[in-house]
Amino acid sequence: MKDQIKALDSINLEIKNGDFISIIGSNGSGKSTLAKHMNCLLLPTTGDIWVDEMNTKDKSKTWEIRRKVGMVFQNPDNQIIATTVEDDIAFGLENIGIKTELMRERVDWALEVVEMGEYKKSEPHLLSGGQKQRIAIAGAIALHSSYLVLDEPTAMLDPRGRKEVIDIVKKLNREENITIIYITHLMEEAAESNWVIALDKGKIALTGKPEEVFTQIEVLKQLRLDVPQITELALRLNKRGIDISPHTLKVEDMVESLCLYI
Amino acid sequence: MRILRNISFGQYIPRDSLIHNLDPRIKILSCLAIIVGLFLITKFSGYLILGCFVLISIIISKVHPKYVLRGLRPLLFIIIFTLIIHLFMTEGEVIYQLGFLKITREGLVKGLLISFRLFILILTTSLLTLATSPISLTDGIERLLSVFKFIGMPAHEIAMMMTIALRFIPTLLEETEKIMKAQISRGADFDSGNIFNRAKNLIPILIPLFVNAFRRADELAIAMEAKCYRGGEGRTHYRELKIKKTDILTFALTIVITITVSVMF
Amino acid sequence: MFIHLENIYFTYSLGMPFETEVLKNINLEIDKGEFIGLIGHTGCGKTTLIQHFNGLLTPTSGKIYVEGVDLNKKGANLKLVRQKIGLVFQYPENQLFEETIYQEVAFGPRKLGLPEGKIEKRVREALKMVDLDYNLYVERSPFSLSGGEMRRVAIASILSIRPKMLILDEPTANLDPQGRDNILSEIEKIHYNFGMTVVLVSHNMEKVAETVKRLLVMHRGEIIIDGTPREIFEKHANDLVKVGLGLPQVTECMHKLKAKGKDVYTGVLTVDDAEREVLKKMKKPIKR
Repeated sequence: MKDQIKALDSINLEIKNGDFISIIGSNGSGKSTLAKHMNCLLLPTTGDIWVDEMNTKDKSKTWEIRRKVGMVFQNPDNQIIATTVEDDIAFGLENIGIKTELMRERVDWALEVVEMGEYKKSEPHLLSGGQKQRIAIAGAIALHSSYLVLDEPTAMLDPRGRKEVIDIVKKLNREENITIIYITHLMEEAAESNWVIALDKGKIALTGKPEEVFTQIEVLKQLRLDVPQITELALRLNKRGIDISPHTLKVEDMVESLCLYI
Repeated sequence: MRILRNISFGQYIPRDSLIHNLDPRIKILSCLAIIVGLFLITKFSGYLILGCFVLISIIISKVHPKYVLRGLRPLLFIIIFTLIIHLFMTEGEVIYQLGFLKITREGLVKGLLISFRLFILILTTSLLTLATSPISLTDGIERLLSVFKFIGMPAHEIAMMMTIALRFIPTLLEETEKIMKAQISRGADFDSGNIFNRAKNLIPILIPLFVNAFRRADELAIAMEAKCYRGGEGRTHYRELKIKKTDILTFALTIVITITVSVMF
Repeated sequence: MFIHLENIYFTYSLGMPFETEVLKNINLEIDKGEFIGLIGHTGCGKTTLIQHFNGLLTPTSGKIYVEGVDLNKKGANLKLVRQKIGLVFQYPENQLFEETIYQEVAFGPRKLGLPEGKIEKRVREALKMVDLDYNLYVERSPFSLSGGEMRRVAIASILSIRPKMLILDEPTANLDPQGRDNILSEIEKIHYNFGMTVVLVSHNMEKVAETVKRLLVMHRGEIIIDGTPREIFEKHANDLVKVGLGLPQVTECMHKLKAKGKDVYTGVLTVDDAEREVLKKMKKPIKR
């Protein structure tokens, strides 16, 4: 068809249990499209996606895959359907037919993990953006998902809300061993992950540990992404002959290095 | 508009009372029974007895009368309107005349009776919404409607629609306020002009609201699918509804009183 | 003096059980041609404050003057004020409703009662100011555009009323780095090329500080700091951190160096600034 747009182009990717990977890219890079393939919301035109050895194209496995791969979206309001927090978290559990007694346990557990226990009976419209996203996360993990895909979860939040979300996500990976796939265009968030994949026009442009990826300043600028100020400074000073590692990511490290020269 | 953000939507006032703790199905059915009874009663004393029953229920519910009156206020107009219509439109023995307007004895009696009936009807439904949380109500309606599933009644879908609508009312109100302010800031005027102008002036608010609503619905549907939603089949319930002794007794009492009064009066 | 606020206090839901004091003791003067950034957390009152500038909200106490006119006096011509002060809300693309972009941008001038000939001129002008090619966009539906384009159309629909002051509430919200840089540079151009007084409201300290000439920092309903970005980063860094507003990485770096006894200038905003400062203060000149 003439008007087809290749949203994703020869993506080869392997994600292991317990990983915390971030996918970065500018608008139109295909990162959201990629995310939606992981829980069968979209199916690949060619190629296959396997989740725990289940093929997403296998219609009989769709619901099991969706149970395993939880998903949190960008708009905090458009994920909450119930009139109270606890009912919304229970929504997913009701869908898969969990028994009522077990549901209560799961809801309480999910609320504890996202640290929103005291808001159990609150109405969603009274919550802040960051709180709403935490509820969305709770609703996803209540299904005991082993994987959590977050599609730009902080795009519509203020700095405080962003911190709430990224802290909970780190905690989920660290303490509950949930595999995190985090989509963003914010460097400081991608820096919290263990592995970064940068997309450009549907292709993988860069991949590696955060400190490796963020030092590729020229490529990042070409991908129209932000570059951490400290890393750019380190690179520039390094080019001028000052012995500062171009892989510097943190302010503290830069300060230590500079102390020797100033 | 800001006020609505802080007060719970709907009329629900949470309290720990006998009425609050009743099963919502019982409350809905009792409410219906009373309403049916009201329409069967013909004499004033009948209304009085049923009215007292409802009033006592309100007292038991521990909801302050001011909330009841607040709920009454918007509908007061209808009651007075009904009274006036009957006062001036009924044929019969004229007891007062002002120009060409006649008030008849029959009109007075009929007007008062029907207004009173309306008054108790509003009290009854107010009590229902004051003492039952919106979730409880939708749960109750869903269970009651499920009885008719065999004839194709989409009970679950109806309940789902009600829940989502209730959930988004405050959000949509906020959004409306924002859109209004944005349009006012570029010169829109919602206060002046005749009826046609004012209707036309609403377009800059309605279209964005609709466009956003459709987008919301789309995103919401995707989010629901991601949480394994596939319709009503195989769903369990987070909130259990159990009929207790109090429910049965209360319902029985209501039915007995209603039937007795309807028959006798 | 263009806008003058004197002892402004504002309480939401005054007299009701949930009344909240949102603005306290605001005293502010804005001159024509300024380029101001208004920074603060959600809930600090910045959105409430800007809604006072065009009369959408009335202060509970205090006075507001726009070009000498007291906004709260009976009979104040608010329509005129709203022509002088263009307020662009957050996510302005949510207010689009017309069938074509032309109609959308023409809405404001039309409400002002301008004749069709003048309106077309305004539409052309406004679209040019936001870098949208008149011929390519004029007949299209506003809903057929990308998010960034929709936002620019919305801004154009305010520019077409030729305000003297443009207030933008979080114009970079939910944009990727490129989109954000684009919008900020559009706004800069509007300020520098057309002499428009601009107020940028944001919680993104880093980018706004690089763009504006004067920064107002709000916290819990009050303006706590008022100065140029460099001054503020140099002298008020602690206050910023205290109210939970971060510093750009390079600024933080300079402050930490200073804390270790190094004599460095801490009013840095960009990587360029930092690089220059470091090279200036090197112990030994670099061998090349």
